[in-house]
Amino acid sequence: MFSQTPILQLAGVTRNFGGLQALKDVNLRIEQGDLRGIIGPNGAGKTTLFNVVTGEFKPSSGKIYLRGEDISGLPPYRICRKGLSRTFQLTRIFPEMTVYDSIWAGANSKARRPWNPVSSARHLEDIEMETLEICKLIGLEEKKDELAVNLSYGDQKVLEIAMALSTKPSVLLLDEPTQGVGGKEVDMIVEVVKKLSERMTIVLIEHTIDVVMQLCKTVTVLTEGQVFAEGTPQEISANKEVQRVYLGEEI
Amino acid sequence: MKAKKENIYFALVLIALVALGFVLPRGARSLLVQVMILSIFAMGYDVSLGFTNQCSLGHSVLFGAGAYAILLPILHLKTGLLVSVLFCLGGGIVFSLVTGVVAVRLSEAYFVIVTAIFSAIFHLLAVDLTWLTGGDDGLSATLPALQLGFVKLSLYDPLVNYFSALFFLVASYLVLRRIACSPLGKIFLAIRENEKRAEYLGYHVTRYKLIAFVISGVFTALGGGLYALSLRYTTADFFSIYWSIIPIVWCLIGGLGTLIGPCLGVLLMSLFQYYVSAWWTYYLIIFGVLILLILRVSKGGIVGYALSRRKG
Repeated sequence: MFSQTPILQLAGVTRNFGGLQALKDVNLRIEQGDLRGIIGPNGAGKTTLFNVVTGEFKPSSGKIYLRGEDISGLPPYRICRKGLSRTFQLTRIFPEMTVYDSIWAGANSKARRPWNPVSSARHLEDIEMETLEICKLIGLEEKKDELAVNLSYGDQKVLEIAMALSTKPSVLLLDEPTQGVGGKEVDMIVEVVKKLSERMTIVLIEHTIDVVMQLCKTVTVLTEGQVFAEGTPQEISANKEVQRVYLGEEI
Repeated sequence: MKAKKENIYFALVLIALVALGFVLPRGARSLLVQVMILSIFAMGYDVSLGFTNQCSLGHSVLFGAGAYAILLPILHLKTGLLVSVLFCLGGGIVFSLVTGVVAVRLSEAYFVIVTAIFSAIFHLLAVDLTWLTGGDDGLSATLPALQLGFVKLSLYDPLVNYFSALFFLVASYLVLRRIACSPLGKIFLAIRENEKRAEYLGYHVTRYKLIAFVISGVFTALGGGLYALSLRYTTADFFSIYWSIIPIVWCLIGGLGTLIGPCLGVLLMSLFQYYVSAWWTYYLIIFGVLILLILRVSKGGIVGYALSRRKG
């Protein structure tokens, strides 16, 4: 293994909003192939962490490295092109576009001339192949001609993962992929994430402890913008301190 | 399948327009010339509003710029018609770049306000700089003949006037349809649907919005230029906010995000202006009610209604 440099590393990342410190000196090392769960109470800074890593906000101080390359403060579209892709807590899809076209849009962004104004979008075979492959992988093949807005909420969540996937990321950040989704659809999403973790590094924010314990290889607990504990799911659930601050009532 | 059907409709409309050019009486024909020219403007505007969700109130600047960019070279440089059309397109690019670079960075309401301010500034400038623009009185021009090989064509001939407008309409439609079906067109739609998501798919959204704004500006300027040519006249009034608001109305009633919709909008509104205003001065009241009715029945305007009927 060549994992001397972790695929994603945060070194002393701090983010202030006015007087509020949403992230305080966060250090994280995520190795290639990891499936990292990030848990923590509401307001612990989990989504802020994603927003800082993906370029939505600039870190107030500290550095973020992707494969050893400094990406702190780059705009989101450039970070995405470097192979880091995300989903959103509140689903962001293209409502009036078909499943196929939504995924196509991501696949196209990596093409040689994505802004090509002349050739017909329907005739770019490599992008078409990729799009169909992702539809198949994620299990949306039969629904590929439906408008995104007409999908069930669970399917929309899956579509969002598919869109994030379409840019061929090496690191995928999922912000509460099972939030607001019921029974069977949770299992479907868990299956999808499991399948994807064989191909890429995944960082997952999740509130459902069962899902975290079932999926993740390592878990980071965040409280008040700081890393509180880190370890395997077993270690975390055995950690008395963690139980006190967060898991308390649930385990 | 769908594209084939579209081609058949397109061919039918084209044949109808060619035939109408020969059979229509003078008045109706010149009305149709106006409709065709303003349709270019309307389609161009829709690239901004319907394709990328940028509700610009600054397109009067581009419309006026196109009108002056076509007549000023004829007046002062004695250029031919083809060269002045090039000036017009160039003017559209320059003005939409200058206004767009500032405006497209802003989101929604701020974009609308800033473009409206551009419209106001340029209107005032155009009224004041009488040495250049002729102010409210405007400038009239005598048009040179167009030399195409051995054929000499004059825009004073109503048939030539009609068919040149038709030519530009068809060319604009084909170019814009090509763009709409291309990867670039798909990116525009993605940005319209969800800007943030598009950004997180790796697209430099501001740049694509600027591209859309400039494409929109070029066709707006072409519309303005041809409009001035058909009147042989241009005035500072072409910079007034009226020319920013009217295309929104066209696009809304015809159908946002389509190319045919805005043209239908122009047609409907022009027919109204021409025939209804003859017997009632306050025809705009009826028109306003009509707009509300159309949008009440179908959010997607006339074209949206037709499409939903076909599906249902």
